[in-house]
Amino acid sequence: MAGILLMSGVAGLACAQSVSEDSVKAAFVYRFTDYVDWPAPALQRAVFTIAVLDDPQLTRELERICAGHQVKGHPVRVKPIHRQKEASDAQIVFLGAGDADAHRRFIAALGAHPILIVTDEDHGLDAGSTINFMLVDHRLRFEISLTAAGRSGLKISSELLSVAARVEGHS
Amino acid sequence: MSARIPTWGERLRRLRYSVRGKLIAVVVATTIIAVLVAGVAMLSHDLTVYRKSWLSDLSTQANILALSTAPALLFNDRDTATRNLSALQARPAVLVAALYNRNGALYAHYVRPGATMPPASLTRPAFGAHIEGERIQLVQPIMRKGEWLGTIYLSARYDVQGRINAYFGIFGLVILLSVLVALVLSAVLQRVITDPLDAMANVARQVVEKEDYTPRAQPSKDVEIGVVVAAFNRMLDEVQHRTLALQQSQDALREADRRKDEFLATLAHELRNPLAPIRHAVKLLELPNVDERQRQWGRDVIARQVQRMALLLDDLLEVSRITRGRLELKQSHVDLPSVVAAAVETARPLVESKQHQLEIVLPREPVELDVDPLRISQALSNLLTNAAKYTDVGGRITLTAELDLPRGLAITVADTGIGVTPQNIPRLFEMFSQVESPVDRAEGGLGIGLALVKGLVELHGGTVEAYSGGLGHGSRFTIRLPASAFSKRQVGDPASTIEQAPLPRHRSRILLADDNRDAVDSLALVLNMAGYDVYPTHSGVEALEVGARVQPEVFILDIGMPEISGYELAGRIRQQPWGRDALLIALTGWGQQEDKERSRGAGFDHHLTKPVDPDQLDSLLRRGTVRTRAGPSPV
Repeated sequence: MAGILLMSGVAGLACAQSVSEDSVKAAFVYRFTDYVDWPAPALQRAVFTIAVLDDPQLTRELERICAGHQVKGHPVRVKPIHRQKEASDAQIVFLGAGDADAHRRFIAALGAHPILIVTDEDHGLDAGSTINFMLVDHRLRFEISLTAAGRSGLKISSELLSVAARVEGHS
Repeated sequence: MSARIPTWGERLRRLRYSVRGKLIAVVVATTIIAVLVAGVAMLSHDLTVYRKSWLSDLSTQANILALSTAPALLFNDRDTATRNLSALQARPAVLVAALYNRNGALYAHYVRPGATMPPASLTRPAFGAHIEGERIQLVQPIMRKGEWLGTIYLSARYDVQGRINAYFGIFGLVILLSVLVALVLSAVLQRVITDPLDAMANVARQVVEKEDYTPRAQPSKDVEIGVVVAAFNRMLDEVQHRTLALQQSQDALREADRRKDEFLATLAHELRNPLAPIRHAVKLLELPNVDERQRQWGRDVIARQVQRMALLLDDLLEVSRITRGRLELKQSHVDLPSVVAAAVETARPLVESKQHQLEIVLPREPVELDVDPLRISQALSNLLTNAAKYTDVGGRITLTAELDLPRGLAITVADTGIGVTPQNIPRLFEMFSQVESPVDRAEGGLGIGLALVKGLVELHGGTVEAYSGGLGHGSRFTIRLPASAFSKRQVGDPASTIEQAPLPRHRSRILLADDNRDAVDSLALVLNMAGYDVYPTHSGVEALEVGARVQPEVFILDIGMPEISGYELAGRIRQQPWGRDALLIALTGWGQQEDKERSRGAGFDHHLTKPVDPDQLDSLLRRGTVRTRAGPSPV
């Protein structure tokens, strides 16, 4: 999927005229924080942590985007992880391309923690993620599972829902 | 009388200068101005409100759009953005909506069918509202958390012209309606205001054109107009009244003037009449062979005629004193019989000369008067003279004094004379009025006698009134003196005097006819002494009778004689065989050209004016008798 170029309407990418898919995904992930509400206990830590599983490219892009910005009043920390246990203190976990079964297990192991799980694979929502990237007409879009969001105690803004390619389940 | 139908132009002009036209103009102009001013104020207010509200409306719209499209921009969702913009279909006034990304490229747009496309890029957007003609454009940034996401662009109708047009349509309609209402109103006003004015104008025109002051304007219930109409009518009343009064006084003046002219002529005649006998008497006295009887006769004639003139002049002076309020009464205590006697004495010559019977009846008890005896006897003598004058020879005159207590004393002089027509009675006491027409001025007189009587009696607080049974039925004059003017005493016997005058006679072949006995007698005397046979007569009847018998060659006739005037007498003489070639001489006090022409027309050969100069008459007779060869050779 690499090599897909997008005309960027995305804010925050000052110098990019044509950017990589990772860069767009990273920007999306960052923007999601505006439209998702976490339960208050989940935000009691000093930093807002975005954990990225085994995807150094995206990690770099995220770090670049989030540098100097705050989310929900906290400085942002991008944390590359390799195991499920490392994700327990994060508010967002991004599961890049990988084994679907492994992801399913990963998500199941996280249980009902108030963590926004973003995946990038076919049928990602079936694996239990809340937001799953997809390509529609060569453009990056995403789908949202309200079931998963409800399970994690997250609230998705209707504005985000309005721009989602697909919304699954009911809040 | 072809009534021309006025053209529209004329009607319009007339309307323009009429009160009604002005009223309509004022009402219509006021209405139009009011509607226009109100309309312009409303329009400008409406435009301001429209602009403000439309701007704020558009701005709100743009804000909503910015909010709703921000996620679409953020997550690069062109479909959603387009869908959001398309929601503006519900707003027909919005023509174009466009979304630009932060690079200024057109990202999504909505264009109403028929509208132009938005600019393809907006690199340096000028934020805010711009009005260009009938379009309003709004450019607003899309911000999120202080971050500029892009630009929203709206273009909408800004239909000021349409609104103005709509407003002016409404104004026009309102003005049309208002003018209609104004016209209806003015029709009503016309009835209230201009109709009375029109009516008044018509009346004024009628008055001016026909000089007829009888028409009046219709009174109005309206206060102001009612006042004007009332004032106008009062003015007309006044003008009519004054015009009438002026007319009357003019008529009265003309009548007075005419009477004065007549009076002057009469005066001249009356003053001249006594002169003839006096001159004849003087001539007689100058003759050497006059005997004592003739001399005495001459003196008597002069004395009588002078007395007559004096009376005449006294009357004149008296009247002028009364009219000027200068007469002062010299009151004294006198008894009635003496006053009556004085009056009778004055009137006696005339009464006797006309052979009237005079009867005087006084109350049995003595009556004393507190009056000016001269004036009362003057009034009585005037009445007696009048009675004698206007009664044919041999008439009957009665003076009756009666006590009519407590009202006073009534003295009535009645005669069997020519009388007065009822319509002339009121004029009898006016100055210079003479009942007799001036053709036969036999009786002469100035026409001041009765006016004088009235004046004198009224000075004593009394009245005088006249009564007549009509022409030929005599007349009766009654003087009433109030009780204050007399006091009653004892005994007095009614006196009655009947006087007769003898008829003198003479000889030869000149016939004289004049009712003035002195004039006839004196002239007869002079002619007799000059060697003519003279036949004096004193009336037309007598002249014809004597003429037929004597057949004289010369007739000398007075014009103003009773019964048969000189003119008529001359005509009758000319009809007789003995009179056809006779010399006819008119002898009269009337010497004007028309009098002379008239006597020539009646058949006279000569017209001589009194008093005649005996020498002139002598030479005329000489020529006349020579020419006709009908008389004896002159002496």
